[in-house]
Amino acid sequence: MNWRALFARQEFIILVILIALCSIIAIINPTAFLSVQNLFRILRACIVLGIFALGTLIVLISGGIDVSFPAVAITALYISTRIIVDTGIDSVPLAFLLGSLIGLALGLVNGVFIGIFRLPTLIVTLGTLNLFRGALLFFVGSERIRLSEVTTNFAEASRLNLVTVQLARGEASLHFTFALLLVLALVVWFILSRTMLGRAIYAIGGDREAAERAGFNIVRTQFFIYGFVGLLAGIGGIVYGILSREADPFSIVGAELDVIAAVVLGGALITGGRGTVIGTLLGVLLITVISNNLVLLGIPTEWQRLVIGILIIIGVGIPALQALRRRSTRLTHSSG
Amino acid sequence: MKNLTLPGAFEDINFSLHSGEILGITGLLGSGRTELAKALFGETPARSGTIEIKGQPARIRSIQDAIRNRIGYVPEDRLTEGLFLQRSIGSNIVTSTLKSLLNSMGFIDTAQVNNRIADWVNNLHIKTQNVSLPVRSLSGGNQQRVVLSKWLAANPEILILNGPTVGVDVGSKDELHQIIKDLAQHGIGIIVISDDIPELMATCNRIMLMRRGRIDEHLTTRQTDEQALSTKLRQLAV
Amino acid sequence: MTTVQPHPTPTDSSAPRPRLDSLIPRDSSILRLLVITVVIFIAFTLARPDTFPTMNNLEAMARQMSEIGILAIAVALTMLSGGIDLSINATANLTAITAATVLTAMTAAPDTAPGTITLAIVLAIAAGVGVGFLCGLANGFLVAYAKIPPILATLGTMTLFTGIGTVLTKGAAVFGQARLSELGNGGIGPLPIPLFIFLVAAVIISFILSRTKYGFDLYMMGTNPHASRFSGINNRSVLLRTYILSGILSAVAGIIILGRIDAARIDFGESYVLLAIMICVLGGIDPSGGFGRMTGVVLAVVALQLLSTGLNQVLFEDSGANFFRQFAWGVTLLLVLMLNYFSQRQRLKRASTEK
Repeated sequence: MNWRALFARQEFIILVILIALCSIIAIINPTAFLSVQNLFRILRACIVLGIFALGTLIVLISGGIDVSFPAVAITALYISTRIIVDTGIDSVPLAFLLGSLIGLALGLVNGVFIGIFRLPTLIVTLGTLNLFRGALLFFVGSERIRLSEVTTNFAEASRLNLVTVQLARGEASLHFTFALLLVLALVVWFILSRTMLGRAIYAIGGDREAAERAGFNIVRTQFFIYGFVGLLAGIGGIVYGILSREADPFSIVGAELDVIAAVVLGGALITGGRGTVIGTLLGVLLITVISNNLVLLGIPTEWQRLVIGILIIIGVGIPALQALRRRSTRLTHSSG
Repeated sequence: MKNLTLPGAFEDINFSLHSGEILGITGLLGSGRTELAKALFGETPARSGTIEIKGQPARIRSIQDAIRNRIGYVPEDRLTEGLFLQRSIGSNIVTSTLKSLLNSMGFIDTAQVNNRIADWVNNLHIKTQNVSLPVRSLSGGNQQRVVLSKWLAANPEILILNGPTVGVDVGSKDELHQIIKDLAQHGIGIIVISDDIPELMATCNRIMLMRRGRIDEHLTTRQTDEQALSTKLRQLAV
Repeated sequence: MTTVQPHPTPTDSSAPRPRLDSLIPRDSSILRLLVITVVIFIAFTLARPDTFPTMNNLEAMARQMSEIGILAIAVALTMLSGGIDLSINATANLTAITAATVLTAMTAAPDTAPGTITLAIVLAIAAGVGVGFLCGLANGFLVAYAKIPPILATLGTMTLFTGIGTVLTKGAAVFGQARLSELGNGGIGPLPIPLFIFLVAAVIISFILSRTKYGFDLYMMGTNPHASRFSGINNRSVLLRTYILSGILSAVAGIIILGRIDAARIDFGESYVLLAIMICVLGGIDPSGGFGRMTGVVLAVVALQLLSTGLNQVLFEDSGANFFRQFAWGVTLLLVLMLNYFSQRQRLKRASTEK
């Protein structure tokens, strides 16, 4: 492995930042930070953010941006919950199935506007964000549903753990949906790096016209991208519901910035064509550690935004500066 | 120009251009000819070497420097670099010279702008009914005239034309060649970069052959003919 | 064929002269928008004749739309450059917090001398505008010099500015000691001061766009940044100035907000960014840059405000009026996007058949 290439990779930089941050927190506050409970708490907080981030990763690689996924997620969760409550079929798999389908359908609405009408992604998804959320609150309902009051299985799912570790004081558990995050990460990795579809997604993000000339079907690919992002958002919404044991139509919306920040920190370029699953997961981990553990450093919570803001600017600044440097070195090395 | 070097693109280029002269530069794609032109225009400035204009050293580190030194550049890729296709013919003509069309308050003097545009449309015989139509509506030859007039309006002393008649039909081509010669007669030093050997022979006084970033040979058009030149160019490829 | 001159002889001024477009092309979307606005107004007047077309209601609408209108102008400028500014609201709030802090520090005591109050107001406004300038400078630097895509750069600064504001205020509200209330709630004759400021801003920006070199360069660069570079336009300086202008306009909006509600919070008006972008698109600003006019933005502000207030009145009985409004915004935005898409395609088709 070429060392210089390794250092230049954003995934590596973010890993170093993450390790450094964790080391500092661990040194300053070892008892609170270095515990199995805290580790599991951090991982649990990564689940929903991570699922959303995987979807955002795909969109960013394709050169677009999607800010509507939180609205998709909450709509999927809320409608699924209502269906479960109204029909009385209290089943977790059904919740996931419904959530996925609703997410997919709403995602495809974005796909129609972006793929067929070629409208700018930010503006379309801003529009659908309002449309979905407004429609949910006005036509479906705006009251919070507490899962434990109206369901049994669905509510019980919040206590379904992947692993439970017995400790001297109490026990620590990791929720089963963490496995779901890992599976989805594998699926996204597989699509991006092992399929023609993945090549098409990178190609569109790199240079849309070149991709078109190379024979990639842009419209179909964009339908896939936004449909799949919707599907992931739907699943993420259900997971959110299970973890928080409620379906609150006012929640989730507002999370889009943290998600985009995580993906960008992980090395995806918003101009498209670049980004990896591993980088995204590292970005999610970094944002989560900052959000949940800055307090352990004695930094008050109101500093969170500021730290994340600085990190985003550094995160987007590094690749931009690298690109500028590449441009000047290319001139000196290539044979014009 | 003396010892002009941009590592990787071209090296050790020495040549001079007199006012009223038309100098042709040819060579294969990747020979460094476009890079040389862009360096003269300040787009990607040369790393070393000096450029003198009228005996005075000129510092050209940016496109704005080049324009200040009265250098104009008609790019190879007219559609993406030369023109604003969706904008009006008039706007395109005044883009590089708006600074001279401001009134004493620093605001755009609309009457003067209108005059300037009308003058150039007539002068270069740009065929259009209405200068507020987008440039896209013009034919290739007329589009190239718009690019030319954009630079002529800046009153250049040196004009670099990269592929001046690429994608222009035969009739317009001759007219454009005539325009180039007229301009040289009025004292502008012109550099024509082209693959089109008949074009070089028809317009230029001298021709420089470039190869791998260096000047391979200087020729005057009187010394050579089309046949000899194309043989030379073919030999470069080997 | 006559020879070409490097210095053309002036054309005979009596000769038929081609008409020059104003440097900004006119377009049909303005007329369409005007019709839509009038239709909305008539519809709600018919639906709520007692409450909608009243002086009180009109004045209330004028006040509400002014701050969002100024923010929309800010976004419009960045959109014309081919970018976007997501940090407008964060900048406005940070400005309001700064100004409120100055006012509180200098005039909190009930027996503050009138001279001190005047000085405090001047300083507060200057500090606020200064903050807006700095915020814009930061954005401009990131976009023009670091070459970071504007969506990301301003997303980052939005978070950063919000972060700074949160740290400064610990998330709480800062109060303006009612020193700016005349600015937010007063009027010049029947004209509310915020509306007056909004209209003045629109006219000034409109003038800058159509009559200065910067405005011309902005339109050209937004249309084709490569060609503008090759034409000698300094893209970096145009971008920098655009984001600074956007920051200053956001600051003005922030000061009006502080005047109107006499409080500054870092999380105030979170939907404003979205609304401002929506207004620009409605108003015919091309999100990919280079096309659009301030007249369109002003009309779109009016149309959206009529729609919002009208819906509120019509759905007064329903507690979900706010939610329906959000839904209606989304529908309107997508509809207008579609309309623009189809009318543009038709224009292209017509242009190609003429040829």
